[in-house]
Amino acid sequence: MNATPLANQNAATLLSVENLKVQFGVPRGGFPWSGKTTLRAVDGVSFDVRRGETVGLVGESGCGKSTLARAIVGLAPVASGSVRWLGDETVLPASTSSTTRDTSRLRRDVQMIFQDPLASLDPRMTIEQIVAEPLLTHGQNLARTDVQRRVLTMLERVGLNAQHLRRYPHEFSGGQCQRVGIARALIGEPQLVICDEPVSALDVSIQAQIVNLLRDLQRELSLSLLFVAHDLAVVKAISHRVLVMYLGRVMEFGDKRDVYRTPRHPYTRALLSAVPVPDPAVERARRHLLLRGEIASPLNPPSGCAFRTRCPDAIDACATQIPQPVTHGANATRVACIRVGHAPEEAPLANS
Amino acid sequence: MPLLEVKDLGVRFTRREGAPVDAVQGVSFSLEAGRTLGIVGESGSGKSQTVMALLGLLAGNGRVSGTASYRGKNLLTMTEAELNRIRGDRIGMIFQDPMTSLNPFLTIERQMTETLQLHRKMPRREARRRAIETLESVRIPDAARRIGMYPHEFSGGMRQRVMIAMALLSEPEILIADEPTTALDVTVQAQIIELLRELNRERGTAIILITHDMGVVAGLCDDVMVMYAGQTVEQASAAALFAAPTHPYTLGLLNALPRLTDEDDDRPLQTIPGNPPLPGEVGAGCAFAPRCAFCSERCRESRPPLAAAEGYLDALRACHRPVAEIIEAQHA
Repeated sequence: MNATPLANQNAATLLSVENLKVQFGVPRGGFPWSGKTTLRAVDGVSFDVRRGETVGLVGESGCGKSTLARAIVGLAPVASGSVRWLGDETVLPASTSSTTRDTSRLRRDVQMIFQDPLASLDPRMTIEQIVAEPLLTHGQNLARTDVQRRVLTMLERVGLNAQHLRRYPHEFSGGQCQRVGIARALIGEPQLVICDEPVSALDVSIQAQIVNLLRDLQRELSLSLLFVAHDLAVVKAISHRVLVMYLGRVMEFGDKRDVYRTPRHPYTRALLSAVPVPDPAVERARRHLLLRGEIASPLNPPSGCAFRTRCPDAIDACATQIPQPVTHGANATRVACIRVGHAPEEAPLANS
Repeated sequence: MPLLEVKDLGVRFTRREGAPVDAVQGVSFSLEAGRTLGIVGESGSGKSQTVMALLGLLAGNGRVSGTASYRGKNLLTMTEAELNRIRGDRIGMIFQDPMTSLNPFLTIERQMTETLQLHRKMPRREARRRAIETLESVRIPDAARRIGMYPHEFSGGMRQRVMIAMALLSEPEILIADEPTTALDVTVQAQIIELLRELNRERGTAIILITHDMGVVAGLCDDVMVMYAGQTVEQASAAALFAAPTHPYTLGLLNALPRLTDEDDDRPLQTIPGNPPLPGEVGAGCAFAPRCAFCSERCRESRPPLAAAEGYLDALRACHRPVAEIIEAQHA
């Protein structure tokens, strides 16, 4: 196996998320006195990110993957659970134990890249100002020439140049804007970058450029990435480990090779089976594992296993208990399903 | 005679300032009854404007040229009244965003029966019964009750089913689907593609599918047309195009896709350098030349015509470079 050397299992844990819950109060009716009900966007998620590795976070819209990513940087309210940085201190929820200094450290060490490349850049700022801003806010007291020099080096690193410094975001294409977003995220030398659907809005030919750029940068700077996406093929191309979410809960979490080659959770199998393969010979010979219906409402999740209403392997017991993650296989893939091993194993892809 | 035959279609937009922009140039294709055609391209390639032009749905500053004959009648020169008898009736259309293409103020029933009352002069009660049947045929559970609901009460996938049902009400011969699954999740996309495939197989509805997703094309289409910067660069059967692309852009597009079947993920993805040209930025040569790995002097100077690919009988390509060179590169 010639996997990226940095992504070995012994690398230090950078971020560890423990039983994290994010909840929102939503009005139950149209009147102020109707009261509120709780939407459990993220419902007890645990996982970790090691130094220099990419964790792919996949799931359908409404599964809580973006909320989870945002909660880690403090952009969504954490109801309970913890986010630990470098194993030694609990940085979130920020209100209880940690001091302001802890959060500012997390803010510097963890950066974010957003889905809509144009909307995430301030239209009134030049590219130079946008990319320099993190250096200035995090108060490193750099000389102006130093800032300029670092901005230019960063821009060149992401494939832009000095000509772009004085231009404004609207003058750039989607792919170029995303490069600016990457430069802004990386200029403060973070250790973890959370990428929220960074290539979903881009055309295929541009998407490959950005995926390659992120992968190169990661190797050079030994960055860790949390890569949120709904495109399973893109996630496979960039990740070392993959976390599959459904309705706010973790269904499966493990080594990429395991999850894609021998998916154990029925939901992972269904997801992989639904991805169309760009080859008519393969695509038409495949038997798709079609799921019934759509993701349930997080306001009213099914009892027991969240996936049971669409699961082809569900039995009565699935409705009574929430399945706890159990480790399987040599690479300790965590799977939250009581039916693992009982269901007919079927490889979702004709993969030799 | 093909059901729909488009010849040398062009779409030009005039601008308040500056020269007019050619969004589509010289597009020709024919669609036989019961066939499925995929039109593939990146954003701005002119794929949507091509079908908008066919149905007379261009923006006010758009002018169309060429011919598009549906059963021998030119759609492009028809009066609004003549066109109205065909679009929405013989040619159905479904759009990308099912939320904005449904009227939020009207119930599904009102929106569906409108077509039948207008095109078929059907009485209301009968139209309602027919609408419920159609909703059932696209597998909307509890259709009799849900027909009274408003669009916001449906989920994204269900809304797209409603859109498809609306297009099917009049049993069109051609269904044009513009990115029908782009806004949907992959498990729901699989359901919708399966539904379209059934329609084609069981009712013999011809389908024009506009998409940027090569995987969706592979699963559904008999023929494929690849567009770049408003022009057709390659046209072939899906089987031929995926097995042996003869245009450098098609080759680049297929190579740039990450695949679930890739064994070695550590290898970087192959990319097409640069960006697609902005409309109006295309020079005299091949529009793809600035990004093309095979580009020669001639490619920058003159635009290659769409012509039969030597040795590949059913493929048309617009490229000056020999076919063998592209095929070899694919296997390298």
